[in-house]
Amino acid sequence: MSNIVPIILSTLATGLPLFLIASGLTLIFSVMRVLNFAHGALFMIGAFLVSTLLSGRAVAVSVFVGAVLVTGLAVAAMSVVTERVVFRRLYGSPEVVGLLASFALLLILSGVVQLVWGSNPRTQAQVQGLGGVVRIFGNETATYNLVLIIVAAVIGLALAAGLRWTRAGAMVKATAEDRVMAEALGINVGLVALGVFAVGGLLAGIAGALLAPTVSIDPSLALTFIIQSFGAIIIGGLGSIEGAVVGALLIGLVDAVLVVVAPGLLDYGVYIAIGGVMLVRPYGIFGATARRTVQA
Amino acid sequence: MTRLNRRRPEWSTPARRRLRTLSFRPRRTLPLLIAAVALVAAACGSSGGSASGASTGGVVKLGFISSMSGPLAQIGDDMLDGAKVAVAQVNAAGGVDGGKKLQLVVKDDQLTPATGAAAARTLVGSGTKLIFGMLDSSICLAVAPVVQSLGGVTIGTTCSSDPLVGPKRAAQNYFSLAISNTASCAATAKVIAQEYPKLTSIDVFGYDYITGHEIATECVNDMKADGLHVTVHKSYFVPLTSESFTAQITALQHSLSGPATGRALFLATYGAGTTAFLKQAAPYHLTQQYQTVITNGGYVSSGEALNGSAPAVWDAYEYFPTVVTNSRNSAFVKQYEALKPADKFPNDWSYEAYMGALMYAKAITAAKSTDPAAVAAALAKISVTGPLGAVRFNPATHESTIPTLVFQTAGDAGSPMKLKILKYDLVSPTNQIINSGS
Repeated sequence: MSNIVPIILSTLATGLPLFLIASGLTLIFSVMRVLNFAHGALFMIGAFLVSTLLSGRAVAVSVFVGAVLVTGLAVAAMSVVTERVVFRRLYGSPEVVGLLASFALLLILSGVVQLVWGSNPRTQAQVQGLGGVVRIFGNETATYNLVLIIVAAVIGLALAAGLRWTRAGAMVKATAEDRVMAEALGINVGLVALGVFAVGGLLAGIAGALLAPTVSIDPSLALTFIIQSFGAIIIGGLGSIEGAVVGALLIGLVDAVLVVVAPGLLDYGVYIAIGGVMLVRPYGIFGATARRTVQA
Repeated sequence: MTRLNRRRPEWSTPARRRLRTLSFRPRRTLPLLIAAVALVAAACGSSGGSASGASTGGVVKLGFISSMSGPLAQIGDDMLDGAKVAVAQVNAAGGVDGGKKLQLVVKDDQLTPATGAAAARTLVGSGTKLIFGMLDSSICLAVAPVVQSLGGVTIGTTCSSDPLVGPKRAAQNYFSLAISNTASCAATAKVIAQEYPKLTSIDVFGYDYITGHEIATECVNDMKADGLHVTVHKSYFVPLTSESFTAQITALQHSLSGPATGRALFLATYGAGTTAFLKQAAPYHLTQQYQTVITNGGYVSSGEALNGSAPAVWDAYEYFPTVVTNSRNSAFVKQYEALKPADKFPNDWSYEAYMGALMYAKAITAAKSTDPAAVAAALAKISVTGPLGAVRFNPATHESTIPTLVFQTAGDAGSPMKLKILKYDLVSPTNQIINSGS
């Protein structure tokens, strides 16, 4: 038990925040067939925005929550703009075109961030009252990590419930299943696309804001988590929300185990996880059925 | 192996290369991509200035190359400001070579060796043959041979790669101002052995690339050579782009027991990695479980970013603005602040570029010429006294004798730099402590 609990805690603390980023990525891909590299830039902007709103200072939980929500909404608005200005023109094009456009967008947004905030790294102080550790079965874990775990779990459940049990969720799934048929049935596909990008941006902004107190906030942040997030959705199966959860947790688990048994292989944790899953499930754990639909 | 190429965004160059090699003709996306490229180019900025003769009329032009755009543009800007202060001081004191004024011609290497080499070719080809600056060793390695082949001289102010110096250096007319990793490790070990003679155990957390491993190994070996009976207890190396260290911090936390005495944490990271590690380790009070925390170069920006919450950390580099109070340093700091009030203080990179321009100024005056061969010969002989003492180039290796500053800082929310000096030692190139303070 004394060895397993730290591994479980480390898995959750690494994996679930990763899911926050990966969930937006996989949602957008499932509906719009866009592997959105610019998602990393939106995540970075979320971190910059929250640190600007709070001037980097330690604030009460309520103030921080307000700042995170404002940030999420602002980034959602930016994501909608990218859909209208860039991606809407590319629907129907080969996926590689969307991929390249999203990479170009990543470069542009990174350049804009440097122009606005400069290249100097900045930090966001930890939220008041969340800076210590809590003991779980005799093992210490950072209080803020526990908060991230809970928030990510709640967001994941809300997303899954929204897709499964709401009318909007049904429209998203229908569009993901067959765009033309959905349109023929009267679904406003353009509006669905906007909504999906808005939710994806909201998730990226919230993830950036929530992780801001634990990272160095600088322009390199755009790619710091995006590669692992892609890893998570590849492992889970492109387009699957459950897959993103499982993929992110698997990456967290591999990291937590490697750090104990083979620290020299830590660099390759993501690739070991991807390789291992690809050998038995080439389309990812939930990929066989999720390839053309949103799983919720 | 400069300390700075660790921060390089590895995705940029290969990704752009992939972008170029993919072939497709989407009618609707072509304008978009063209616009994107144009916007990126605009965002990245462009090189400044135009080159002309190195010595025209009453003006001597020095070619300054650095990363003025991209993720390290701020550092490039800091370097340029240091160089500007030197030029202003030299000109105010009467100029060089009988009253000629110095003038900088600035080129942006975009943190890319090929662009740096092209910038050097442009500068030297148009007559500006005295080149200095460069942030990254890979760029120095690209620039130096180009300048050499065109008959110019280069002073690399920040690059510390071994092939650049020594009798068999890549370009004979190349001079290196930065301290090497070897020198900084030797100086660090000297001071740590003196401060903590009973150190027995070291945990290492570093970047998983050649310099991260080399610095960790070299510094620990130097500590052993300086009489410490230390062994590496745990070592974790992480990817350069990583900022999520929960697994490593948890593992370190669980491996520690008993008092902190005799235990050290060595960080072979820098920049975002160091900042993120210290932030994520803070809830566990991890650094307090070690007698001391040591890193090796480039820590100040991380310490500043922590906004006053930085733990006590030893670092080794060349400069810290508040360490010495002599008139040279005061003048340097004052003029730097006047030039850029929002940017607070000069840093290592500003200081290095400042010294690079001063070295050229003195060499030109000594040579009574801007002829590259004469200036190179003079550079091997002259000595310039800067804020932290005299600096000269070794005539055989072209390495500088710039002293290494080993200093311990801690967060100070009330200080403009958000850091305060706890202790410092200035270590000579022969590894002797020449000045100490707190």
